Parts: sequence; C-alpha cells; structure tokens
Amino acid sequence: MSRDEKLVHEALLYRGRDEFLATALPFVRDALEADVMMLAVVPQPAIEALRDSLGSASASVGFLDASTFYEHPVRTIAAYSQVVTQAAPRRVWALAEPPWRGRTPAEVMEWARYESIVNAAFETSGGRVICPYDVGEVSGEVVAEAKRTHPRLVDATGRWTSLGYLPPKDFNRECDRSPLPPVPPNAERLRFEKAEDLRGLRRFVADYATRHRMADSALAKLHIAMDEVAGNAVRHGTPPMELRVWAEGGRLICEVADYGHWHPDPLVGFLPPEEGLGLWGARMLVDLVQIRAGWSGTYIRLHTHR
Amino acid sequence: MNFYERPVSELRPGDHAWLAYTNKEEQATIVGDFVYDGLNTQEKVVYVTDSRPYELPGMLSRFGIDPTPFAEVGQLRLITLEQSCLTRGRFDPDRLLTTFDREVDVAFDQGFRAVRLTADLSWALRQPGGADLMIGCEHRFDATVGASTMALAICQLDRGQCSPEELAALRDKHEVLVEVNPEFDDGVLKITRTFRPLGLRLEGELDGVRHAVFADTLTNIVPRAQKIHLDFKRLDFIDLGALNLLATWAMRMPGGYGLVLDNLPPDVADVIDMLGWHRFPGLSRGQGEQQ
Repeated sequence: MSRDEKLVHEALLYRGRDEFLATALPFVRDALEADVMMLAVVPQPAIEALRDSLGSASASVGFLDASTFYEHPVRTIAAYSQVVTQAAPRRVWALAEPPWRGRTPAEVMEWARYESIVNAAFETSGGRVICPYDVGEVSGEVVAEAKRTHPRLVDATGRWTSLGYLPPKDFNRECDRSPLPPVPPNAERLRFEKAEDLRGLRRFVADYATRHRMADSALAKLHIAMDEVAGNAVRHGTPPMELRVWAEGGRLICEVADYGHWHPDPLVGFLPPEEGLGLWGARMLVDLVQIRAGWSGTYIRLHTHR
Repeated sequence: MNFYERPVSELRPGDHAWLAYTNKEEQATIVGDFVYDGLNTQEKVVYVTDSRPYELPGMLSRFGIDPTPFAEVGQLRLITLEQSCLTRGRFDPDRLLTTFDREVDVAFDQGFRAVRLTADLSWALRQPGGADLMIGCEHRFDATVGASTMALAICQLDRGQCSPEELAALRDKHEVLVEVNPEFDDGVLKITRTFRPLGLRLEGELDGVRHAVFADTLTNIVPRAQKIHLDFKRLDFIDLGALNLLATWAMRMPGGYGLVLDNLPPDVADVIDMLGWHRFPGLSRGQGEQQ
C-alpha cells in the first residue's frame, strides 16, 4: 500500500447530532470497508451516538474520549504520529473533535495551530481526517480558524475547497506575528553566556520555583526544557543572553532572550524529529513554548503550570 | 553494623575495608589501585599471597609494572599462606592476626607512615568451619585496625565462592565497603564503574558540558557486546542531549544488547514516558525506583 498518498483533512461544520451523523457515519462505514484503522476521538456523547448507529460494527472502531485525549497540542501530534507508525502498512482515518469550549484565547490559538500542523505532520500518510466543529457551540472565531486550517470543508449541503486555507507554515508564521505581553517588572533576571553557566540557571529556576511552590515533577521537566533552550542560545545565539522568570496566575514562565537574528522555520519543534530531541523535546515537556524572533533578538518563552 | 562505600583512593588509616569482588577485573581495579597507591606514596604494602610480585592483581594489566624492585627493598612484603596463616594446612586465624600485628610493628620501626594490609581468603571459606573461623577473625581484626593510626586493610573475597548468608555475615564485620575509584568526578558529575551488574553509576548532574566525558567513558570502559546497566539512583539532572546520546550509543550496540536504566528516578522516568520509550529503542527500564 502506498505510504505517500496525500492526507485528506476536512472540517465538518455541523449543527446538532443528525448533521454530525449524516457525515460521520458514511465516513466510518467507508473506513471499515477500506480496512483502514478507524479512530473516533470525539466527545463522549458523540461516541455513544456512533456506537448506537453502528451496532456491532462499532467493535472495529477505536473510540477515545476527546476530553482527556486533547490535553497538549504537541503531545497530541506525537501520539497520532505513533498511531500512524504502529498501524503501518494500514492507513489511519480519524474523526477528531478537540474540545473548544472553556479554552482561553491563547489556548484556542495553540489548538488552531495544531489543526494546521496536522496538514504537515501527516501530509504523506495517506490518512483521512474529519474534524467536526459544532457551529452552534463553538465561537465564530474558532470556525473562522477552522476554515484557515482545513483545506476542505463539509456541511449538510456538501463538500468544498476552503478558499481561506493557509498552508501550515504561513498559518504558523501568522500566529507568531503577534507580540508577546511584555516581561513584567517583577521578573527575576540572570545573565549567562557559556555552557558552564547553565547549571547556575537551573539553580536560579529551582530557587524561584521553590519560592512559588511549584511541584517537583513540573520543575524537573521545566529544568530540562529550559536547559535545552538556553543551551541553544549559548550555541547559536548572540550575547548578551538573559533568563527571565516570573509567575503569572497558576503558571511559571521562563524566557530565554538573546540578541541573535534567527529565522526559525515556523514549524520548528512541532513535529516529532527523525532523530535528536531538541526543541521538540522542550515543547513536549512544558505546557507551551512561544518563539518570537526578529531584528531585536530571539525570545523563547516556556510556560509551566505550578 | 552500619557501613558505607568508599573509593579505594579514599581509604585512610583505621579503615578495615571489605571487597567482595565479582570478577578478576574488579579485583585488579581495586586491589591494583590499593597496592599501587601505597607503593607510590612511600607506604608499606603487606600482601598475604602465594603469588609473585608481578602476579599481583592489576600490576601488569593496569599499570604495566613489575613491582619486584619494591619487594627487594622491603616496601612491598609478600607473605605466603604457609608463613602467615596456615597451621598443618588449615586456616589459623590466630596466626594471621599475629602476622598482621607483627608486620604493622615492623613497618612502624622501619619508619613508614602507613601500612596497607590485604589478603584474599576466599579459599579459607571452603575449609570445614571456615566461615565461622573467618567471621571470628574479622571481628578481632576490625578491633586491631580500627584502633590503629597507621594500618589500613582490605579483606578480599571472591563473591562466587560464598553463599549469600556468608556474604551478609562477613559484610557485617566491616564498616567500610571499598569500591573502585570514580572514572570521572568534577564535583558536578561522578561516573563510577559497576561490576555487578556491569555498567556505570551516575551521580549528580549530566548536562551539556559533560556529554563528551560521558561518551568517552562509555566508549572506553564499557564493552558493547554486553547488556550494560546505568544506575541513575543519585542522578539529579539529565538533559535531552544526554538522553539522545544514550539512545544513539545503544543503537550501535549489537542486536539483543542495550542499556538498562536502573533506579530510574520518577521524574526521569516520567520524562522518558512523555517523550516515548519508542524513541529510545536501545534503552530499557531496569530495577528499582520509578513509578
């Protein structure tokens, strides 16, 4: 079976259970007929509706509860990648509906980014993915993003090509264009310039984290991610380098700043690398990594829940 | 008795140390350093053995020296079993203790600032009542060495020659368990060879500055065609580069072999879980700790 077939990635814009099933059921039945691996990672009520309609055929579908599966965009890409690898040579089709309600605007942006990156991550997997959007439930902004992150759209009236679709690199570049909030005045700062200084940075972060009651397990991951990013700054950046740490709500934020003039690939660190770990590893270990690179320098922010 | 592990180079007068070696290489590494350090620092070395000087563990294999000249000038004293601890062919603890007492006095009279005593008594264990005799001997010897300001000793035993019960009983007679000197120790990261299981113990922080020395140690010390254990119990930090280095190294090991991570701290186990063990095909979880 060819492994370089193009991904088909569609957004299903539905209202109510019947419209959902009108598209989802034929999709699942086609999958079972084509003997591909069929996954339905959707909210629990949708799982039950699909099971009821499919009857005994539902045994051949892998159901996963979306409310626990979609916790972290980069980890989700990694999890799907592993599914695709393990399923080979069978192809994977999926009904994939991440939860949108209750997400902050920043989180909505990261999950929209995720939808966009799916196009790059599984470009040649031969898979088919339908992402259902309950247009009666999600905000207009979420629907607008869906049209920019899915090459094709489906609704009760039919299927069409999304005119607003942006290739993943363009979409991600746009996400990274908005400036980050300024570093607050109470942030604590430490200059560094060489690899030998990283140990001091780890002590500095540990000290701050302890004072702000961060859990040890979260600190251990932040340490590794921060060390990776600061190590990159030492290897590739331009002095002076500085680490800034502050607490914001329930999160601890570390920013690594240098004067380097870096032009990162907009997808850097989002896709599981063939070898090495690098920035992908850092993205996996903390809640969110934000990168801003421009004429004034390179800024990488790591967010971790305390 | 409480006991603690101490690298051979850190033994001090008054230390009555125990070495239950796993193989000849471990014996040569530790006893070799013990003898060599003594000869190198003008201390007297007394070795109960039927071997000749150049046959002493580690002398040729580790240092490429024949210590016969040290024996000729009296700094190295080899005493045969017959002369030191046998009575009518049987192990005689009283005689051994008398021998050691006498040798310490002689060394003192000769003006040595310290005297290093060692013997491999594995053979005595296999004689009738050997274990009990040896336990009694160790008890009295511990009192002698412990009170001394110039004697330090290593009691050697071949682990393969004794039962677990005998090992435990004999270990209890020693406060110090001697181990190899670390391969590397810069105050941040310490790397020590382990022989049972075969591998390395990592302590402290393994970060980017220390990748090269860690890779060199793996390459130089550890045979590839074996299953290698890395003890992470006292490892406080490991960076992504080092995890990647381990994976790359393990991939180059012949099929069926790999790196086993023992005593994986829960935080490190959690990180590897999160990144996915499938990304580290040559690594596996060993025993101890983790969740």
